[in-house]
Amino acid sequence: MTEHLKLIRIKLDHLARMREYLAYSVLQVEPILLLKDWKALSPGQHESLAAFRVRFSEFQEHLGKTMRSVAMEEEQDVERFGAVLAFMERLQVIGSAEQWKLIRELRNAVNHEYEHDTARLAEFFELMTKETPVLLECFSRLAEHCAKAYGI
Amino acid sequence: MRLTADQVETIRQRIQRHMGPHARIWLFGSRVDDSRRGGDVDLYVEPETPPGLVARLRCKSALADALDLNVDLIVQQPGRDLPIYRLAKQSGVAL
Repeated sequence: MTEHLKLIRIKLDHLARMREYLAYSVLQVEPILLLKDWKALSPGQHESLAAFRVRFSEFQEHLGKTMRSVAMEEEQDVERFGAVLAFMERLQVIGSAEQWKLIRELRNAVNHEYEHDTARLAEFFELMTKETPVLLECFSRLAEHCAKAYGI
Repeated sequence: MRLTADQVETIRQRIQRHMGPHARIWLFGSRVDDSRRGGDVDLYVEPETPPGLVARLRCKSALADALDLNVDLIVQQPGRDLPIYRLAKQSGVAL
């Protein structure tokens, strides 16, 4: 196995661990989403939201980097991330580049525009919980591709 | 203002597509200063109808793709009057 493939294997293993943490965070956040009044959240509930935000963001970012590594392994153009996304679309790792970009914008927004308006904050977290299965599915497909193509 | 006519038209089209044909747009920040170079495209929008979160995110992504530049998009929220809104309108250029 080449050094680059070993690196991809390490990244996939890391993502597999992150996936478990992210799935756990979703379970913690789902009951909070059912609450009508977010003004009275407990410190523990805020902690769960914060952990979910970080785990969602890190998973998305790390998955993107791993997709770039796979594209590099396949000698694709990786200078522009748009080219990586087009390649991942062809591999059917992602449903569409547009969907990936929406998730990326969501990650950026939730980290840079962290809302104090509770209604808007709830809107961010509802969308994140909706998009989490999409991210997890992308990871499964990427891992499946790597298993088939490189035996890792 | 450091945007070409084509870039301005691109911005208008993308924003009006997501936020209504009568959405009002201001460019503010470093791109209104002709003495500077580079920089993000800072936009403030008063939408015709308030967009949902998904529409707002898609609009920002479409702008960044079309312009091939980093875009910071601030959209006026109904019932709120944030200082950044006034700053953008006072220091910015209506597109």
